[in-house]
Amino acid sequence: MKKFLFYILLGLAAFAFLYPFIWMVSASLSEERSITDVSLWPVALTFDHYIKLFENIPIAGSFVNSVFVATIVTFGVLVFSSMAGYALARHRFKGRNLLFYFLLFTMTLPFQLTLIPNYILMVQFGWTNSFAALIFPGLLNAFAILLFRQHFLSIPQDLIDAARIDGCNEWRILFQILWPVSVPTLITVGIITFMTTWNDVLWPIIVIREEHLMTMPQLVTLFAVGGRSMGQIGMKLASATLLALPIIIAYLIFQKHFIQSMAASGQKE
Amino acid sequence: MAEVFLKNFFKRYGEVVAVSDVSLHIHDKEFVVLVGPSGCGKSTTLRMIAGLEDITSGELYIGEKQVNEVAPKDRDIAMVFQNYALYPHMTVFQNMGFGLRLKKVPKKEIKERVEAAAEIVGLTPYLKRKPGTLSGGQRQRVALGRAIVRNPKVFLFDEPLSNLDAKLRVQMRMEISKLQRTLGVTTIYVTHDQTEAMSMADRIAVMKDGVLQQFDTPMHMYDHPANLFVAGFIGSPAMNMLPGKLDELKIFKDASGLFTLDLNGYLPSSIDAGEYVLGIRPENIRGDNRLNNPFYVPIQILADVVEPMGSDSYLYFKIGDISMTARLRPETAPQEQTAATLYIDRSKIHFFYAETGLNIKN
Repeated sequence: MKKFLFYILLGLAAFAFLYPFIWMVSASLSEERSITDVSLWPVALTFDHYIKLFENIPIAGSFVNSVFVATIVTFGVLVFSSMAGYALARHRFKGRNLLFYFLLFTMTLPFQLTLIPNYILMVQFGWTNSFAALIFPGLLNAFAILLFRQHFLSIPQDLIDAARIDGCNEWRILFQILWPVSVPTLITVGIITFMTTWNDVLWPIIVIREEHLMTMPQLVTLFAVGGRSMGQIGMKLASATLLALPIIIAYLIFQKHFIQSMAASGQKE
Repeated sequence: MAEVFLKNFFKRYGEVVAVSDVSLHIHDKEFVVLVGPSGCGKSTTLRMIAGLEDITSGELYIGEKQVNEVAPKDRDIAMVFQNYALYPHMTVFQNMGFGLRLKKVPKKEIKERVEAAAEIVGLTPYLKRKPGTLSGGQRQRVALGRAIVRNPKVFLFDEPLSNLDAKLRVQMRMEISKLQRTLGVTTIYVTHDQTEAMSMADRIAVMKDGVLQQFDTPMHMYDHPANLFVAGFIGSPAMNMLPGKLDELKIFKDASGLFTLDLNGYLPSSIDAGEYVLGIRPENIRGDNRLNNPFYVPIQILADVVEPMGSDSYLYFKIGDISMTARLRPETAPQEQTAATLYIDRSKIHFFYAETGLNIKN
């Protein structure tokens, strides 16, 4: 009986979380007049909002931009942060600990604090209005370095020594020996980075002006709040649904790792 | 195959001296064991030979060539680690052939060499398996196979049996010794287990606090330990040590004054009166003296604990505050908590200077 009540409670909680998403999808497929209904199913099923959305803004192009930027940034973070994490975990050099503590310190700084200096840098480099501004600042990530460092510390030194005697250089040790035994960490860092990059709106709004270079969240945000949706809630909801879709699909594929990575990011705080 | 020559090895980490002035001349095909307690510098010495640690100062020769600045992969060595250090994502075959693949050895030759090594270590049926599916003993065989495949000049072993259970350890110990003799490869083996050292080595190097204490054959070291540390470290149960004084008549009296031993004729005549430590191995204390051996001196003791080991019994008792162990034939062991007479074999005693800990025969 106790268990039954527990499941009822859990079910209600899950429903409370899921309802807004289900409503969003169902409303985006309903006629504009019926959107105020709180129905879980589409009222007078229509794809009009989606069709209009594709007619009004280059959403497909922005999707490709987002995939491109998030993929490059994720790959970059995996490569560069694992390199830094490996050096901090397994190489002895002067100032190693100082560097590590400095790195930890940067994690305490809010993004807003570095926003302006970063923007000025982008202007100086001439990277505004280009993918470079979206990609380069994200290629190294203190949290990812920390995760890799901690993981590499847990790998026995003997494994690295054996690889060295077998003839591996540092590149091979990292990418051919350590990467294959670090798949859960790679997936965790990959998911967190991809999601963070995918969902980022503020930075793209600051550095990108031209529509054909915009990422999907940026375009959808500007579309939803910028008046081009002509006040139609259905189109706004359709754009929000399309924005959430890739993350939902990724969740279904990497469900197990997603939960682990969320737990890991929880430890961060 | 090759000689290995360590000349005045030093390793410093800042102010800490991990290895201090160690010199070893290891002959071709010799099996040398570096032994000592944790932190004595034995693994650091091995890692310096492997090239995994820089040599702060000193020279290292493998064969004719000085290899201080040579990368580990080019030193022509193979190393077996305590926790096997196998690549978990590779099969046994790939693990064993990985080093050869990096050396760009032709695939056909890699296959032949891996299969030959697998045959030697009895792993032929497991070549397609991943290390995770193998037992501890099998994994250590893979590590051995990986070392054999390289056909090195020198084998380096860093406590390879520590993770195995006692029975498997004895079996692997025997197999490694046999393998080394069959292949005739110069071998340097690190362990903290003196039994392993005694049973496997051609020569043993005992280390303490980064300093080489003695480098000798197992039996010579057992019979002629250079100092108190070696005397206490080599041999199980450990040698009994009784601090005391020797007078001009060569009568030794322990610190408690309860135990005296006439050593006239058993010590060099040149030895002066003074403070010394008397060492007696447990097997040189007997439970009886049926043959009236003139070397045997009776002592009265109170038997504290008796541990029957089957082939012999360990008797624990005290002389003053010093705990002593005797290794007796089971039929001569007294009952616990009873008074008994034991016999010390004077011809087998060891004598050390109390101040320096050195053997008087040095």
